[in-house]
Amino acid sequence: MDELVLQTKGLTKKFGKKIVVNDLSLNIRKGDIYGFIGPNGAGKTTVMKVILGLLFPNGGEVKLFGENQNLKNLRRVGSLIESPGLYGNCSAFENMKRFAILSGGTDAQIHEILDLVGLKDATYKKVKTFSLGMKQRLGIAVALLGDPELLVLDEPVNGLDPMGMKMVRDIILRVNQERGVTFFISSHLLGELEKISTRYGIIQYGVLTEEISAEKLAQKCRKSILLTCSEPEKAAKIITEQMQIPEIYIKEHTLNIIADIARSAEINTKLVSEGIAVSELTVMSVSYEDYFLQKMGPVNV
Amino acid sequence: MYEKGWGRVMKNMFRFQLRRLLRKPSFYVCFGLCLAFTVLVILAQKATFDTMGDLREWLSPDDLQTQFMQTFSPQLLSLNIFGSTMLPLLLAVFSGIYICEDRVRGTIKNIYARGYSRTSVFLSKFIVSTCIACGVYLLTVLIAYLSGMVICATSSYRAAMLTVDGYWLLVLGRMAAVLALNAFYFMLSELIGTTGFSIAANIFAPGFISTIVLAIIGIAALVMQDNTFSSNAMTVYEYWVYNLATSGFEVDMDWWDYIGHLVASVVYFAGFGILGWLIVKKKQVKN
Repeated sequence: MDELVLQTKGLTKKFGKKIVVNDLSLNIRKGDIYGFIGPNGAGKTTVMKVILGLLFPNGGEVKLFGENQNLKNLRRVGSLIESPGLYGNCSAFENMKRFAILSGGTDAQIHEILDLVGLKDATYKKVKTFSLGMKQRLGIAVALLGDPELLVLDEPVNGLDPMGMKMVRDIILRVNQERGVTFFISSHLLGELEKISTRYGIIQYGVLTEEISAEKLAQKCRKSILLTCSEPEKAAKIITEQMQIPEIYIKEHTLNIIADIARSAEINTKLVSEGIAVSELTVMSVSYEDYFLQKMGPVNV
Repeated sequence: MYEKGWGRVMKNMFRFQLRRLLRKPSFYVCFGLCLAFTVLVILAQKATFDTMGDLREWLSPDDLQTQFMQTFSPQLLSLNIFGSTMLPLLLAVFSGIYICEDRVRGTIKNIYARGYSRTSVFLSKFIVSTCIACGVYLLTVLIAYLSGMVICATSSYRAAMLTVDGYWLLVLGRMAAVLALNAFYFMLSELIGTTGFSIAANIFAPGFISTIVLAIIGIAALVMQDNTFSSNAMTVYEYWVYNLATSGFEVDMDWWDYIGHLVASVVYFAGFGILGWLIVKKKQVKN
């Protein structure tokens, strides 16, 4: 089994009488880019804050690197929760320098990280003059101080323009691949997480409705051809042997053919030429968005 | 990895707090103003005295000594400067800015989430804040004392070189009162958490509490028609309320009074410190 970097068991958090996180158990493995998806108000930020010790849980436990969450293992975690916490009147370098006292890091490492997040030219500019995207990247730079093994990022691309989003995405992928850092990223922007995540957790009303790997999700969301015909067994044999399409599932008179949908006309022609009557042919597809929306269930507006 | 023990944690926290403090323009503005005001008050007093030329001719030397020249004793100047400068006001303003900054800017998330306990954050802030209050008070006293020396060194004021019995004890006592007041500001700022409200509360709360307590004592005394109660209540008020709002340490106070005020200041310092710690310990980072 892969090494678990972060695990929660039965995590519960209430604000007054309102249960914001309910019996939540999630597992993040080493090297994962874990996309934490849920609509606004689902409890994503609260979960992250509890994991980082900013909020106190009402029940359950948090394990970091195989041990119960404590001050020692929190030092191996970098984070960016909501808007980045920065000193606006100071330069990017001064901000990094201050947090380097707490997290560790030399001047050379500070410059290297600022270069990594694309803020080399803004090193000595005051943070209050930064755009939202630059502040977000500086927030990630602060989180990267002290070589963390896990980065917890809450909505890192929120409010960014497409270029800013791509920049943050590239940083995440680069840090994950080059430094082997595990990521736990929350977002309500499915399209963004789709591009980088290796695993997903779906949260709604404080409940984790599903954890799924990117491969399994891709399988569930791939397109298929649904075909209803007179002789399904014979039709499946013809498609498999003569058209080299191995993955076919039969249910009564319907075949579920996992293949490129561009081949649907070719399949139809072939079966008709072999004397099999095709009564219905439908292209089925479930988008990631459809899948997540289905898992999240109805959302109260 | 950045492994740390408790000593290392505290060392990092102090380095962090000091760097934050020393690169804060408001620190220099607040306490620069305080020190400038000290000099200004003394110069204003000297100017007043200088304009009394005519008065000097027809006042008896004793009257002159009593009414004006005492002001220019270095020791008296340095003892009285607490009441006549803006030190409490500027401490109130600076506490609001410095204590609340991490919550207002959201940087407290970066500290807690990096494995620094609430206790270490509280201790580093409280100690740094106490040292600032202590340092600025002593600097104010020193400036007042030196200014008095300079003024009294001129021939016309030479006669006013008065000494005060127990001078250093009074300086110490007043410092205890300043630290108690500073601990109160610290606690209130931690409780409120936003800069503007904290500053307002720091400035008005001591006077407000003092007035309310005095009003309650007055009403109770009227209702009960009991002189003993009234007298006891006023004694308690003097030590436990008036002492916080202003410094109760006066020249020529007796020993029992001195000890009473000192105990009240120390208890306040410790009490507000513990309250501040409990607030920091229990406070979650919701925003």
